Amino acid sequence: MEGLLDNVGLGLATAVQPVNLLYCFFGVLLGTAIGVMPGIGALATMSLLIPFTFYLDPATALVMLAGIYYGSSYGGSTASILLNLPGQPNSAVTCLDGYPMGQQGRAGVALFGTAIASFIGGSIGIILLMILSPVLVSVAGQFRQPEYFSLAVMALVVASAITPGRLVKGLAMVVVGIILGLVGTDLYTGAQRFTFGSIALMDGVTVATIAMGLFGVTEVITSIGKTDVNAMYRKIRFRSMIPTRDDVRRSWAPILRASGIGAFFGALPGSGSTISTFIAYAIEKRVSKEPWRFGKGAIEGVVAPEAANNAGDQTAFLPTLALGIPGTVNMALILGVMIMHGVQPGPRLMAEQPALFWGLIMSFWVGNLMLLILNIPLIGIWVRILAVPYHLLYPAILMFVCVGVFTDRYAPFDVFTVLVLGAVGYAMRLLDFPVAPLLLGFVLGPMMEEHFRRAMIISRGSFSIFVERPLSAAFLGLTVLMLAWAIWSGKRAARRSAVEAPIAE
Amino acid sequence: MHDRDYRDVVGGGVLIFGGAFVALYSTTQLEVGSLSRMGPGLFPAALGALLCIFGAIVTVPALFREGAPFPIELRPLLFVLASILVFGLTIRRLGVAPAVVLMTLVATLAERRMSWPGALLLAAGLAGIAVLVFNVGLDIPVEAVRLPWR
Repeated sequence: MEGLLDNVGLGLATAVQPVNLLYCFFGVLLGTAIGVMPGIGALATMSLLIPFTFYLDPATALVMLAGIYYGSSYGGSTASILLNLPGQPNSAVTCLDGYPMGQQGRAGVALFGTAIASFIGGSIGIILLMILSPVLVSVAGQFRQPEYFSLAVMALVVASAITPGRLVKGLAMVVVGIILGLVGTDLYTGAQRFTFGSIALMDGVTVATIAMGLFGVTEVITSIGKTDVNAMYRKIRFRSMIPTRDDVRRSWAPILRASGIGAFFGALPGSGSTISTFIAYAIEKRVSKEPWRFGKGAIEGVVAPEAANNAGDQTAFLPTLALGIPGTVNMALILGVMIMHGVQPGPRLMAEQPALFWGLIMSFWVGNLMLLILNIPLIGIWVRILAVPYHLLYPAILMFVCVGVFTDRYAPFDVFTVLVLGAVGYAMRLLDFPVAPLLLGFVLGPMMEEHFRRAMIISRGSFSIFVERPLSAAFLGLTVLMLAWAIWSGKRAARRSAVEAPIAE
Repeated sequence: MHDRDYRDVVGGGVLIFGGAFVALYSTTQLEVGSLSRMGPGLFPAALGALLCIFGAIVTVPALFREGAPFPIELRPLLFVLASILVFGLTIRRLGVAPAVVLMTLVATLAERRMSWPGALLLAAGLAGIAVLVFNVGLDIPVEAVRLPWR
């Protein structure tokens, strides 16, 4: 316990350094802004800012990027409530009851409720992160190459299996991502892989290029002409935000339950916070004594998903920071940035760079407090952001993509790579291939190959090393279970739609 | 409705060809080695083979089921990509501000909403922001405006 207090002190000392406070504020501010706006996501924004992070300390860079990430979950609900249009994917469920609340003139209460729920969910997530990280790090002390390989396989399979019916496509994208991650000079032999004589490719493709191309550019192409909401924005007065006693009575239990659900799914590699919002909503509807109120403006249906996604956002850092295994695309990007800054992720991070490790975690407290202030008294400003038309916004996004990617190495080659990846990303959307597993595979790929090779050297080429070690076997067993579940639920969904289709016609 | 699910036929087909290429490249251009002493080609070769299998799983059932047509929105696609191309071609020769202006003008064509004066105004504004952020703020070693006669 004393150790934890020491770490908290060390972390706070890092987090409240003026430069970190400043960039934390910038991160959560930008995160809220892009969270409010449909058509640009946290991932695209984080990748846009990667070029800027090279001018910063690694800890400061991570504090800022993380702020964008969890800040976007705060902002995401605003568009859901006011426009029935999720600002972020993990706010989609909030539309179900948030928009009806707005229609009933209770938008202020809904916005207040989501801000409080987000803060409580986030806080619970951070507390769990603080307590469980050292535990997980000590467990990871027993991890050797087979465990890391199996855990990475598990994370990648879970990430692909999470979208039902697209298991194979998700897995295929993971494999494509791993192959992209292998481009460049092989660390063991110095052999050039997939470089085709190009000097620019010898260093490989950077995570910034992949993220900007596949997410940034593709998002712009698909959003043009669709996300022009031209908000008929209304003034939200502070007085209209005050919840009734009935609202408070109905909300506190769902917030706590949903925080737990969100924290669990956030920490599970591969699942992420969007799925937890669906589950939290379904559970609240199930346990409610008045389930018919859901979908018609029930406050429980607004606060539960928001508490869940913010709790999950924080606990997602658990496997990322403690094990070096990212659970979601956003975490994959954070991990990629760590590697680019020369910070070696993994269980040794906590012992080797305690100031960075605990400073980042403690900055989440700072950031969440800032978000609470940003989102309650200042909500009027965010509502006004919705009125910014997309045809002014997207050229600005493209400008930051182009100049940003160019300043990485001052090579037009990188700009053209983004161009090609943007086209590939659009084709993937068209052909219904998920993009997120690709980025996860890209970040985890090189690490997986390294652990696999070492494990094969140790076992003299026998695969049994992966099942003889209990932890590794457990990870692989879970992976197989997850695969079986995904295949089964995919079949069931297909059968259901086959039955329902004739009725629908 | 199409008589086949072309979306998955095309998608799976690309996977099969891509996987076959990766596997061929890895086994012919790189040293494969053995499992106990893996060469640089073994891991990608296995991945290529895996990709072929996934591609087949996607393609084969799609040949025997109906599929919905998938509309391509050419205008945003072409002009967004063209704007990036213009930027890549001009940044070295002209400098940051002119490249951003040209890029923005092409990008605004992706949507029919902008009038020419509006687009010019936006382009000038974005060029100003770019110079302010990247040249003044970050001091990148690329001129804001590169004069062609120097």
